Amino acid sequence: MSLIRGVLLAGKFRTHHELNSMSREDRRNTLIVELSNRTSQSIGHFQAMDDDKLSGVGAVFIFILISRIRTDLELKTMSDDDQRNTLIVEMDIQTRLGINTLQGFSNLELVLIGMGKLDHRDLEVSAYIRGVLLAGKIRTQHELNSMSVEDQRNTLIVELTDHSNQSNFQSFNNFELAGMGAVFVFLLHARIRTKQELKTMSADDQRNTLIVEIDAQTGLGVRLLQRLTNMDLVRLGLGVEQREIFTHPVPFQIPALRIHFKSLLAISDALRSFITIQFEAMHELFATGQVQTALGTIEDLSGDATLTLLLNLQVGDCLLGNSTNADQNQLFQNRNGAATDDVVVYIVSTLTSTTGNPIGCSTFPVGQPGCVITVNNAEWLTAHEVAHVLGVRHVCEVPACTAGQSDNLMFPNVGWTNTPPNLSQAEFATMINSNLTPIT
Amino acid sequence: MKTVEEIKAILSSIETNETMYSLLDQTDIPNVKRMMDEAEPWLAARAIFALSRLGGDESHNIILRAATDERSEVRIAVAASCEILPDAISDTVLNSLIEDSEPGVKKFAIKSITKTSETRLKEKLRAFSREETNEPLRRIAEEKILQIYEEN
Repeated sequence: MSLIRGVLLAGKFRTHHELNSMSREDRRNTLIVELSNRTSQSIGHFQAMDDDKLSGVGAVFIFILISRIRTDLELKTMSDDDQRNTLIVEMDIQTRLGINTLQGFSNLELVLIGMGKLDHRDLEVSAYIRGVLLAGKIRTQHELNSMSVEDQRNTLIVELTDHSNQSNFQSFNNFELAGMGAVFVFLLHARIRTKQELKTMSADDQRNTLIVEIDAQTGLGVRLLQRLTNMDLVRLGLGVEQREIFTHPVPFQIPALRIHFKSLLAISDALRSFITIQFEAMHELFATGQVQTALGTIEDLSGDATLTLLLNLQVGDCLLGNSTNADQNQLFQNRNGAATDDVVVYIVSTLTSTTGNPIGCSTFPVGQPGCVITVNNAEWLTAHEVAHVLGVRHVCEVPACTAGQSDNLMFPNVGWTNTPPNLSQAEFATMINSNLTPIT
Repeated sequence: MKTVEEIKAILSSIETNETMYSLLDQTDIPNVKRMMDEAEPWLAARAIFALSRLGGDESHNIILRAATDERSEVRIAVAASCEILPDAISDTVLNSLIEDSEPGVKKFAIKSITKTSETRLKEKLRAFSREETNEPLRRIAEEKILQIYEEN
């Protein structure tokens, strides 16, 4: 996991808005220059590191600096190894895990421990209140070592009360508090809002401001971002990859229909966002009818020269139960990692049939369930096509559609008038009764 | 004459069918043309399929110009529409689209050549079937030649 973006923000080397206009290479080079200026090591030393290693070294440097374990001047005389060893000693003092154990952790894991993860005094999943107090420079590492969890909580409550127009923070649990604190610290240190501006805002105002900023950064859309926790919004802002945040773990006792995505277009960040949005929209909607879906594999087929011409796919009539043509048969043979009853969603550039250019098509060869979609703004396109795969038909056909039918996912056009669109109990029943849907 | 929004609503079906085009008439051509300015390329391409069904000089002129559109989605729509365009129009656009830089456009240009296509175009197809280095494309050209030959 590369967190170069997060390191540049935490170190205040660049603002959130500056980072939005920088390429990945620019961000990497900026961090290399900053680290070589602020440690005993050369640009060449850092250039030899890959992004993961570089961001880990950067995270250790920033952690030691902002938690006031060492000063700027002291850090300038130290190598990255010196800094790692210093952090290991500090983490031992904090956690008593032992030097040998701590040496087995990566740089990033060490920093996360410093932020409150795996705290040996707390067997529950960490709330990261400690991390918020450190990142916000509210307390130092050594001060926190002598504070109880309750002291840390109360300190954060006082800070949040002082830096918002809200006064009921005591009513929130540690997870909620840490999330609100993380949003506050992110907005401040990424220089999205000033302290004075934050003082006039509620925690909800601050969250909504961050959602707008993360939308500008990622293009994921406000609706999707509104479903995330505060901490996940901050993680996105720090550069954590979207797939780490959006993959829905489905409890093992609930069987889920696995949906795989295989793309003939090269998988860029933008395409990954598209896949995420499509899957999340479908997952949320289907879950309301007890149809559980799980994200399977995401495969980039763009490098397969034998599939090049299928990028612009010829399809037959995309009517439920119709047979497929040679293009579709060749494409649907690609089922790496998919079990017999899994559904594969293929992503192509264009679809062409005798009646025009469908943007989705759900006819599939016998025994190879799947559908094909193109990249566009129709958020529930995958949901619509997968519902077809599971046996659901259009709610009507134009021009015979009546008012209100466009609220339904199975309206034949993309102009859904209710978002998310509806599915009736009968339509959910059809999906649940499909041979492909695992039995609960 | 329908508004652009009304036309978009009619033409925005996920899986296409001929019925949606039948809801348009000649008076809608100017606003169908405006759909080609849509940011989403599939809507611009959909407009081409609609114009090919509406026919007439105005539609054909728009299609002829669209053969050089910078969006490959639109050029593919032009190539695929040739099957139902008059030979004079389809010969003109296919002569250029069979030499397009995008393999996907070439693919649908080849597929749209028929036994009634002009000789020059069929000769290009024959040369293509011998000389094209993209193996799958060359096979499509060979199949098309066989098909034309069998039709004769």
